[in-house]
Amino acid sequence: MSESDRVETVPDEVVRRIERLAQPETGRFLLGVLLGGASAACAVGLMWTSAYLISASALRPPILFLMMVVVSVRFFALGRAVFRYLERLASHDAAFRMLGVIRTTIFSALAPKAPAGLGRLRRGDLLSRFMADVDQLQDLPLRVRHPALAAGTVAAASVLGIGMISWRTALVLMGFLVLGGLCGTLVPWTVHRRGSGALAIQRAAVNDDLLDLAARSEVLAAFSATAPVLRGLREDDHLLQRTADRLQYSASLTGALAVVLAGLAALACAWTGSLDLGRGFFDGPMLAVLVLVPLSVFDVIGEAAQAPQNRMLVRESARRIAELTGPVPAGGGRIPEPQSSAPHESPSPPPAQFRGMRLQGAAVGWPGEEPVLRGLDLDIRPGERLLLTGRSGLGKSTLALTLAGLLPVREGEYLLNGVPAGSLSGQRLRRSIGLCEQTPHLFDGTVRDNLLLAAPGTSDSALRERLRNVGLWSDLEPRGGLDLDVGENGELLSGGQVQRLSLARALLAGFPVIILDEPTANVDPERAQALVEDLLRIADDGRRTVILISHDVVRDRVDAAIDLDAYATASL
Amino acid sequence: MKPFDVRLLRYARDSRWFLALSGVLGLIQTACIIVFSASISVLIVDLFLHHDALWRTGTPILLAIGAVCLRGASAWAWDAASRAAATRVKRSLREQIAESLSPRMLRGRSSADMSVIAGRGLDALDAYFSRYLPQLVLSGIATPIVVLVLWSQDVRSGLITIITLPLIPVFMILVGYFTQNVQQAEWETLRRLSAHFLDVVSGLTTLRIFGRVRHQQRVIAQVADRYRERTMRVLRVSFLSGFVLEILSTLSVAVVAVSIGTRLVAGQLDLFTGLFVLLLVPEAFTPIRMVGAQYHAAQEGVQASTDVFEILDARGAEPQPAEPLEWGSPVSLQKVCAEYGDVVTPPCSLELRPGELTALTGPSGTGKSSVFAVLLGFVPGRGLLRSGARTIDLRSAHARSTISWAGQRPELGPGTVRQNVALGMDLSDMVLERALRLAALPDLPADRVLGELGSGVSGGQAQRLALARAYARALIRQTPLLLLDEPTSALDSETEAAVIAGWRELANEGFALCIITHREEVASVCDVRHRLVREETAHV
Repeated sequence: MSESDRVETVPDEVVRRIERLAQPETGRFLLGVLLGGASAACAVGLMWTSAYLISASALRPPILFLMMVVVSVRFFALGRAVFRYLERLASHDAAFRMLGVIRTTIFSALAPKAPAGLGRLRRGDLLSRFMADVDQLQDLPLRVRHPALAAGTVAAASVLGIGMISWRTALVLMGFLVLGGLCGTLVPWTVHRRGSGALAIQRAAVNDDLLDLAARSEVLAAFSATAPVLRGLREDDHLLQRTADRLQYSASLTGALAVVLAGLAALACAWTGSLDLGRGFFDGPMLAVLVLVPLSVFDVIGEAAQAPQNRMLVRESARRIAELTGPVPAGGGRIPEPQSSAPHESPSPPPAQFRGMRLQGAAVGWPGEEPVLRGLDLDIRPGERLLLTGRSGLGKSTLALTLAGLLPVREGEYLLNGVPAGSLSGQRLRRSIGLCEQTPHLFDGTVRDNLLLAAPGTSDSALRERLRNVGLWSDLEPRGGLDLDVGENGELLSGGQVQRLSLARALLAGFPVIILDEPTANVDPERAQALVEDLLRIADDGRRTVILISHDVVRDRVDAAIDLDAYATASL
Repeated sequence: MKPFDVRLLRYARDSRWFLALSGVLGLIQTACIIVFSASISVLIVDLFLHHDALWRTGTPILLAIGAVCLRGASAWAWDAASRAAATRVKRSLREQIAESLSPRMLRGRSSADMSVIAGRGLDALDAYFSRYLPQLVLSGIATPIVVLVLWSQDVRSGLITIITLPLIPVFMILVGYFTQNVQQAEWETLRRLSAHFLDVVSGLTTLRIFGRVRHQQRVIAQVADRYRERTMRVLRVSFLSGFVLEILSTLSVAVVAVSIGTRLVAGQLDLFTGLFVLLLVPEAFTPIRMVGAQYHAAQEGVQASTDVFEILDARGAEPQPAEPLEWGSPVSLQKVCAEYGDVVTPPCSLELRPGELTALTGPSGTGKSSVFAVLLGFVPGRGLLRSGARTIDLRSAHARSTISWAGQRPELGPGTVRQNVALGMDLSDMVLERALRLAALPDLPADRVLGELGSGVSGGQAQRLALARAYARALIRQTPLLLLDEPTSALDSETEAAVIAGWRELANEGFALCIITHREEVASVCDVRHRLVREETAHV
């Protein structure tokens, strides 16, 4: 089912760019390759020198001659471990640094898409891309490029070294190495073609099911609908396991083939070696080297055996990330160093001047869909209080999002302070116009965290004052006040409390124009009236402009009221 | 952290056979390694010292080929068996977790966090079951055999190996002891990063409104960086332990090689023994070295599984489903209240009669929704639900089968309008149309696709869709009670009137409706009004 959830196909160039983001800086990367190659070379060298040492000793040469070999045996033994340790330290840190960059890139790419572009993405899928797929990208340097380069270098060096003793044996060894490389590439490729490419997608499907079960547990329980979702999870998990098993199957097969090839290579080398020995091409002790070195070369190559398979998994994950981000700038999501005027240091920039807003023949709607309202003419002056009414589903909230600059105007003109809103940066527009959404989001944290989001640096007493304004303080005080945890999505508060907390948050931000979308839904009627009066009073204090979307308000409390029914494009 | 976790093996009962199988396969592998090493050594001696031609060596070469092929095959099977074991354990644990995700146990927990534990956390167990544990078994089988063979061939090499080998487990226990805390911190950072990401993505619009996107970007970078630091801290220790394991094994190979060399020169040892021992010594260390190499990955899984077990152990105390109450007779709630730790909501007693609309009103925060939540078993509470001769004790049972419910939050899912209304039931076109009409949504196309969290419809439409969903269930399952929580809060009065007309129609069919509302327009059309206040209940 999740295959159809793919957002859109992205060009390979975008995918490659994401992969480039995962690639550490050249210096750090080369250092890792160098150290890894050195460690692999030491492993082969250890086998080479010890095989030579033992077979040469059988001929009982002068002990002084052997001392040199003994020293190199010890050097290689130490070098192998030391280089490997250093390689792992250097390469992992470099690779992980890039993951952080990719994660911020994803977030920055998502931000401008809210609220229009996020609708079709499932949250479990999103999380899966953000965590698992990004983590998969670390394999590109660590489990694809590093081992492949190190193995390639060592294989080439060994073939050369053996070639200096017996070129025939070197050719045989090379033949087996090429065969090994072919198997390592072909086996995962065939398996991959049979559909294991879906690993990341299936992983996301399982994540979706789990998140659905957890996030909607109440509805599912109340409608006895948990069982089908559980069944779906079981099926998706089964598919995921089948894919993972198939990948593992190919990995085991490559590993087993490497073992067999290593043994056969040693035997074949023994054959050519014995031929060349008979012709007197080299001294007897070298024969042991010719037979045993291929064994250790294959050992080293074995670590690179999974590289082709990992390469395919990385490509797939990069594609899924690219689907989220779209084309990204070359630098990715590196965050500009905070300048002295960064928003979190001077929390409330001076409130923008508001000199009026105007819609002329405007149409509003969600991108990709028919506009819901057409031919709107609105003229809103500073300090004005405007009421917007209309039937449910008419597009009131869509209009609110458009006025707040979160959706583009579909037709006609939207002027803010006499300037087309489209020409203003989104941030500048939203500094003037605030919106308290119909279904506001509270972040998992304390009441204080949620309020400070709107106005960082506000004192506790000012926060308490605002909470009193919206009639929430008496509810919160006995439960911990500003330190009360609101829970995920405000689940630890009642519906009315969530609404009033979001109102307090919107009022704190000090926007010159504030749009309140159904501020009194979920609030009891006695309080609703008082709340609206308070809201308007607070707004009056700051000479704020208020656009109220509501069906609860008596019209005489506002300066003007507009019924949006007249502008509807469809009759619902 | 211990190399074994007893609970893991207990939950992984069905993986035992696979472990046994992997033990047998490990035995075969070890035998192959010994045969191969011996025949290669014989081969080299024959070729080098006796100058035989290869084809005249006969037996050793056949033995070597046979051994290497058998080893390849058993290595493959061994891998497959380990993998199958991991698969089984993981799926069974994931299923157990998924089944335990009830509203009651999720209260106060982040759903993102839960899905991370059951998703990624369990995936981390892969490494434990498919690589670490089988290697542990293998090292228990292969290493002693190889050491015995070494000992029988050359006592001194056997001795060197035996002296260095025990250092490895000792060192690993030390490492485990030191990594436990950092490992815990790493896993927690990962969970935080996931939950935080989902939270801010859900609130992206809010962030944009308040101009806090840039700031949030920095927060994500910080958390991601902390995750990297924590991971690196774990890795540094685990690399160090890998380093020591490697040093120990390669140095013993070097020491053995040098000692063999000197004794060969002195004529105290023959070349065959020397080569054979040289080939075997690394094989004594390989399984243990692999255990060390998998240690970090395996520990991540063990860490995650601790959370899994915590969740599984915290199960229980779930209310039992009660048989549906009889259709058509009045249902009375007696002193129903929710218990949130020490806080108890005011008791609510009222009678819901078929054909009647009952309004449940009261100031916000007095526990109106909690009454519904107790009836549905979402939160712990007490009180009785009575109808005729039947009584449901809400301390131990829930009445979901008696109730169709529409909560304050629509909680629509991705899918079509039809799928949302049907939710877990087979739905005929007729019922679908009727439910949508009763919910004042006659014109909403049934195949309109909704996005995540119900995007694609307006707030008021979502609210009515949730109503239609409850109606459809009531009509199909014939549940006597319809509980609606703030069903018209986002509706204009015209639409509200249409919704109320729908209630009347349902009531006339014999349903008993209970409606939590703040709206006077709604409360005034109800037949009974029940006001819930903080201290006591009172009829108005």
